[in-house]
Amino acid sequence: MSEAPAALELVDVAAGYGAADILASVTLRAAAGRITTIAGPNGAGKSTLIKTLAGLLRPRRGRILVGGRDVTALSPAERARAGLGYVPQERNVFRNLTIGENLRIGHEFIHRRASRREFALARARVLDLFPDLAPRLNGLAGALSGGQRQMLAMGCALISGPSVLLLDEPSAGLSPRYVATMLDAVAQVNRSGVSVLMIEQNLVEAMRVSHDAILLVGGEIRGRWNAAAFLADPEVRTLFLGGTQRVAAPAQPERQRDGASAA
Amino acid sequence: MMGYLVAILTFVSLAVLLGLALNIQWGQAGMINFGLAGFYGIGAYTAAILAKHGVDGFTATAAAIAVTAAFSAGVSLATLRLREDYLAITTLAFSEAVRLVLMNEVWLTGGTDGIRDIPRPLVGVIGGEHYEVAFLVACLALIAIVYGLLERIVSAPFGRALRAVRDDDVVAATLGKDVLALRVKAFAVGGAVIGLAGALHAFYFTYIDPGEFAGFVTVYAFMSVIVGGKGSNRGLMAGAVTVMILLEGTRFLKDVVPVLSAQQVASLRLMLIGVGLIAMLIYRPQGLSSEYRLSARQPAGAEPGS
Amino acid sequence: MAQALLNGLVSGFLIALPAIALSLTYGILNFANFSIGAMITAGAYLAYFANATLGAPILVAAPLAAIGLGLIAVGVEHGVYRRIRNADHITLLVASMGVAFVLENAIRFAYGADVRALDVAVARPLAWHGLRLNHEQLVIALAALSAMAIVAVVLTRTRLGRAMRAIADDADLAEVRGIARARTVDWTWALSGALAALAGVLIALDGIVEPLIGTNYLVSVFAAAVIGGIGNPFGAVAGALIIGLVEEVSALAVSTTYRQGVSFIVLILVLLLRPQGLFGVARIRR
Repeated sequence: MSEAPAALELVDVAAGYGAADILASVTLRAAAGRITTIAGPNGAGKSTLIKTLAGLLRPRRGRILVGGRDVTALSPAERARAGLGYVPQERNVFRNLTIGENLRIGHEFIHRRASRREFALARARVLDLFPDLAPRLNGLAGALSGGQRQMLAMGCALISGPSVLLLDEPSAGLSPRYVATMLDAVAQVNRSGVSVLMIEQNLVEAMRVSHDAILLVGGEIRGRWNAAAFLADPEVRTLFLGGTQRVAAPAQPERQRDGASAA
Repeated sequence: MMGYLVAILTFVSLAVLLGLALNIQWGQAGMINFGLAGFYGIGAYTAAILAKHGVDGFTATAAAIAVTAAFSAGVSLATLRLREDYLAITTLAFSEAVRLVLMNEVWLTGGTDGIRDIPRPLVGVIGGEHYEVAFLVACLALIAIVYGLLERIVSAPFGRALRAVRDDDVVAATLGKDVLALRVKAFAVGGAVIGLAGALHAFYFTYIDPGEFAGFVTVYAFMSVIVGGKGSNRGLMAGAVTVMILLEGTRFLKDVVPVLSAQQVASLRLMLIGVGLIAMLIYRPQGLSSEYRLSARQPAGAEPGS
Repeated sequence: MAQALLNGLVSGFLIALPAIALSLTYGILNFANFSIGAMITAGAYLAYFANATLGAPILVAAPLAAIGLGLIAVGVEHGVYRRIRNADHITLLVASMGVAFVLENAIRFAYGADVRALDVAVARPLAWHGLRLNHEQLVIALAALSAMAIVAVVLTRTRLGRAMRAIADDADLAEVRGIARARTVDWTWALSGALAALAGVLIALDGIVEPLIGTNYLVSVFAAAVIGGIGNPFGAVAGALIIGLVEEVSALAVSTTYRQGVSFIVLILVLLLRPQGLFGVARIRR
């Protein structure tokens, strides 16, 4: 499957906070038009990886390419304009702004010259995908439930029509019913032509919709599977269904990172 | 010349005391005191008023220390659990309130005329001739004592706890009562030193008025701490001396640029101090003597490798 | 009493302008700008320069001062705040005090400590049912209300305003959504400078131009911003009205020289009882 053109490519990327590298040397390709899930135990560096991709963390080494274009030196804003949509795990909507304003902000800074009609069409597409949001456009985003907030966050990333969507644990903190809805929405978005790279803890649900799976352990890529084969692999089974402690990365960098991102 | 040198060294001593005070409040505990001038004024006026009413100099100084420390504790209590900005705002507002009282309560403070002929302690014993030198020696001795006490505090569990609270977001967010008390104490200790400096100011000049306790005093103290490297008492000494040399050095500016009036030269000097402070924050935020720094602090949100 | 309320309302409008300016920069840059007092003073002197020195009528001088101070504020952002890399909000706070010190002394250098006045015609006060409203007060009220309306429209109805509110809400997320932070920050300073300048002109209009006119409002402005929940420009307006009214009404009981002292007491009470402000969320130390 690696013959397909890469939607997103990392070449020898090292990144971290303070003195320590969390990602040692990561090289990976997410194929265009597919859903790629990055799995790994806690502290494996999944969040660091996705923040590095989004541009919130500068890599110390290596290159990042979106659709073949080198975006390593670009800021998060420039990467967004280059077609990279990102849905953070937490703090992923502007809580003090209305839902309508959130959607508008998702669109207007990427398509600066868009007409009202173009925005209305883009918004209609998002509201088709997440009809729950439609009656609440004038409500504050901070008042939404966890699942609705996740939908809004995804809607904000999708409304600008990105070519690649980065999702940081789209099902985190959601009730089982919402997990399925959310991942179905991811699959639907992907069918419309958007390449997806996501981190997910809920591997059983994630593999239901994913095409490819990549295993990240201790800041290094351990392997790559077809989604259907991933959970059957003996190494993966040991890692997630027991013996997790063996590979658990130190917890300290994880905490530092949270402090830094909150500042 | 000797007299000039003694005078300059006495000014420097006062600046060092103020710097030491700010260094425990801001440098060690991370508590911003933008109202330092107001606390300094409280110390000076307390000592002066008591001395004018016949209280002996030592008792008046002790009272100045106690009163200033008490006000410091009170002001810091109001914003204890809040972000540092609030203390900065409150102290600044407090110092404005102090200035108003000093200017308007004529019965107590003499208003804008200030207080004249403040009786100096032990002037009968030492005699007028050598008084200035003796005063300087006393100042230096007091600096040694204060320095010693503050260094002990810095290395004691109290100091470590202060820095831990200052540096660790998680600890700071879940402050217990004991930790909060620590911060009040730190601010009060700083206030006590400011009160001492204020009393010395009153006795040295024997004349005070509200204009002497304006914002520039605060700026000098911040400048001393920043130049010396925040948190380091040894660096602070060097910092205060540097700032005073800068101040005194620029005094001769008017000889170089004769077209300027005295007022313009004064403004220019103060502008230079402000520019120096900003330049330090931009280019040498760790101070000039960074090797004395007690704790390396990684600023939040620092970019790796920069 | 009614007269005091009227005066308090007008004075509240006046305080609201710099309080909004303070809240805007606090929300977006996350630090309290202690140079706001010096900025007010600088605005008054810029208008004085255009009005008395260049001979421009006040209706021209005031916008010139607003534009001038807006540019100066953007210049200070580029020359000072942006250069203090990796700065925490405390370092920026101290830097803003340094900026205030430089601005104040630059003004003293150029104009000395003399008391000056703008060149404006004095008009007779309006009277209505025993209430007196000075011509200047009317101008202050109208100008401040228009400025507030403009700020409200900018914040809620324009792309710039949404960018500003988005950054204030979550700066990282704003970047991810494609918002250029640096440019938005520049506009925030420009707006903040213009508001401070307008306040300076209005204060000068009602009295005199001297190096302390801004500093004399510093405590009231901060108290207003804190009451409104610092960082919240709409709350700042409410806070300013409260401070304006309290200051004027208290003047019936205590000497007007203690105006700032009254604000200080109000500030302390709010911090003790409701530190998040009447409308905001407290920023606990973190």
